[in-house]
Amino acid sequence: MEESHGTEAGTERVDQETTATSWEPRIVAFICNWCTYTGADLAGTSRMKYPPYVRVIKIPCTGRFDPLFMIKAFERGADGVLVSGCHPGDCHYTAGNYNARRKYTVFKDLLATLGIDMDRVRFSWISASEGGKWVDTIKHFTEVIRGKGPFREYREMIDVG
Amino acid sequence: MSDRTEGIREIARKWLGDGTVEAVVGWEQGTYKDKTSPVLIRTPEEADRLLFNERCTNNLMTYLKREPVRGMEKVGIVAKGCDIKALIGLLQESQVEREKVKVIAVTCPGVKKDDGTVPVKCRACDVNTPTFYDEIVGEKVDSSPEPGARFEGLEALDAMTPAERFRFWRGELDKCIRCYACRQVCPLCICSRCIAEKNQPQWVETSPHPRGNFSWNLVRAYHLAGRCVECEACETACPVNIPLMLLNRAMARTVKGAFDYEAGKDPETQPPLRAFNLDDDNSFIL
Amino acid sequence: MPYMTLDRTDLPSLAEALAGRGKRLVLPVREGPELFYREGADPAQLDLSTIPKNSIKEFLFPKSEKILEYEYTGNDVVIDDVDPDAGPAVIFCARPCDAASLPVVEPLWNWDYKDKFFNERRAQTLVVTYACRTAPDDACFCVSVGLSPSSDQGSDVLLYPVDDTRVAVRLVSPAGRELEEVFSGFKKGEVSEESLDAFAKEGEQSLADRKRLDKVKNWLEGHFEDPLWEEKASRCIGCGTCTFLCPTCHCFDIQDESVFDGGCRLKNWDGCQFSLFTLHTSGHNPRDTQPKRYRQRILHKYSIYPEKFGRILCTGCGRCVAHCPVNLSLYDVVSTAQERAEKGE
Ligand code: SF4
Ligand code: SF4
Ligand code: SF4
Ligand code: SF4
Ligand code: SF4
Ligand code: FES
Repeated sequence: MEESHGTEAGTERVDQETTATSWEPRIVAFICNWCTYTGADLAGTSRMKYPPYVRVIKIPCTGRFDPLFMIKAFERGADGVLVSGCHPGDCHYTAGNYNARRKYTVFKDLLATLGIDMDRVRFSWISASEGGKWVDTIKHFTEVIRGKGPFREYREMIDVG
Repeated sequence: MSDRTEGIREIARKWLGDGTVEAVVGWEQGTYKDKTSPVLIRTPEEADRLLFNERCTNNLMTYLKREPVRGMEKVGIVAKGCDIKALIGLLQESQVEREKVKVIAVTCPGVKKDDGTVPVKCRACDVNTPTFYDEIVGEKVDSSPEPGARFEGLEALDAMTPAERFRFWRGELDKCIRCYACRQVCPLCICSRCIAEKNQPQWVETSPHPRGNFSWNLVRAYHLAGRCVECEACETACPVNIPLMLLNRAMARTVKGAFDYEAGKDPETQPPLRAFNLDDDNSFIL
Repeated sequence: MPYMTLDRTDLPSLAEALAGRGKRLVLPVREGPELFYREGADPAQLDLSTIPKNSIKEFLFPKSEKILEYEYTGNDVVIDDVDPDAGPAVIFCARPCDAASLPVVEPLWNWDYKDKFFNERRAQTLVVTYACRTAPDDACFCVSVGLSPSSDQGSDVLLYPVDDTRVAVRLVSPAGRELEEVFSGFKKGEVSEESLDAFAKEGEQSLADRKRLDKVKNWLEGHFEDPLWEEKASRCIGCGTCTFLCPTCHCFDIQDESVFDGGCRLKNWDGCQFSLFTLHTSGHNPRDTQPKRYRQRILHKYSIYPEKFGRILCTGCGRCVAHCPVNLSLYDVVSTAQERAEKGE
């Protein structure tokens, strides 16, 4: 597994990993247990291949997603963050994803207002049967992030004293 | 303005005298320059300390969330139209009971900031004559919101590239000293323990370095999205003059554009992040 | 003894000359409606029209400062001591109440523990103070706490703007006197000692209506419980503006910021006006209401600190008066205490 230990919070030590030429994108994906996670699982059991640079964090439902998850991920070294869950109408808890969609709408504008590069943030709906969509989403997002390089601006804002 | 002052005193005197309320929250003359100061009046005799003038900038609704007002059975509160918007927000979220709060509304031609300028909220005001109250004083003032005033600061921000915006905010938020005055003064920041004070886990870095400050200011603006009534109390209180209203107004604009919602208008509606529509914008979700 | 004068318009060049070889330079500049002391600001922007909103505290006791680093290696923790990230600095045109805050807080930082971070910064900081000809703000009350608009306490050099064009120079400390040459380079004329005395008088005169606060300590000692606290401070919203803008407030919090393989420990500003400040793990809070927290601030400044260190923990800069968002004025509170003490109440 690629190490995420090199990420610094509260220290100014240089992140060797990202300065080296071997840098690969670090993507954190917050995905709901019932749809996208199962879809990603399907991709795995179907032996579909996709870039291994995504760290999956399972949440019960996109309704559980809190924008602070994304901020924490950026603080700790994520180069891109994906949030994905059940398609509208399919949420296991009926309306978690509708509520989430409103939160995304507001939060993405807030991030944009603050000048966070919105290409590093992505939202999707991927169902349990859409292993292929999961693979395509990750492939595409990985390429976008690879093109952008490491997201240092956020995590390195820790100069004190 | 003096008739308004008289009107406020009269109602306060009456309510305190007949036991309608335990206390009245209002403004009194301050001790520094021409500032006014929030005051808690408990007896009819003290009612003469109350006043209204163009320096009554504080949004007194913030006292509803803190002791001793919070614990009172019935309380009177003096409020401008913009302050009442905050009360409406609190009612929507069941933070206060309508029966508990008796509002002395005051019609308002606009207030002045410490530096003598007129705040944006007054130029954009649509509630110079309040419509939600128990008693009202002062003659009717017609509202004529200056077109575009409300979101005028956002244009410059919109015109920047993301990288320029990031640099701009980095510079501004670098100044934040994490005094939390913005939160303390806000009538709608109602949590008894703010997320910024939770440490297991510690979601928001409490250190006032730029990264911790981004995290804090993001959370504050996000938690106020669709709730903030643009009273400007936070920006006015910020001791390092961070333009917090740019964030608040950006959120208000988003909420208006995406959900056709404005905070503080109707106590019967749901705030936009407590509700949804099946046909909300889905275009940005892959 | 006459004192040299220089041209007011030469102040920016003087600032640059003093900072000279690679010193950090702090000076007051305008940002919007107010002034702020800023490090690295352009000396040409020097603005002396009033007292800055922030104090000089942050250049000696930063709002956040790393005090150690650690790494986990296996089951061990390796701790690395860090040194203050300071270096020589010049604070140019500090106000007298700011400079005077330094000798007020020095004993605190050297009491049971010698704080190397403050001490090292202090040792490396040259304070060039700009005396106030008249009080720059309605909130000023330095004379009430035994200081004055031309106090030299804590200053290495004191500049007197004797008139609209000339600034007289008094080298106060040994470190200041060592700079004689730099100042001489700008010398344009001289003024007599008497004119500096007249200047000082004019400054004090501008604050003639301020009360001396010499009986406040006594009053406080007998009025821990008093309706005054509720009456004045139930409006306090606990925002901490007063403590953070204050040059003498010095409370801090210790925070660890760590990831998987290590982290660092930071010393961050904290303040007694926050409810969390005294909250125990059990949930008990000995200062459970805002008036009690406000009372603490006054007691600490005007009773506890003087008791322990022999000095009032306040230089009368007036920031907590001018910038409190609810206009709860410390001067109003302590002068009320003084009045009551005078009346024997
Ligand atoms: S966020 Fe600021 S402008 Fe909005 S309601 Fe709170 S204090 Fe008022
Ligand atoms: S910022 Fe958020 S968590 Fe903190 S008090 Fe305001 S609403 Fe509550
Ligand atoms: S009031 Fe200003 S300085 Fe204080 S926490 Fe809020 S943004 Fe930061
Ligand atoms: S207590 Fe107030 S007046 Fe005294 S030094 Fe601090 S900020 Fe200045
Ligand atoms: S006294 Fe004023 S500045 Fe200080 S905490 Fe209370 S409200 Fe804030
Ligand atoms: S369960 Fe998948 S989004 Fe709600």
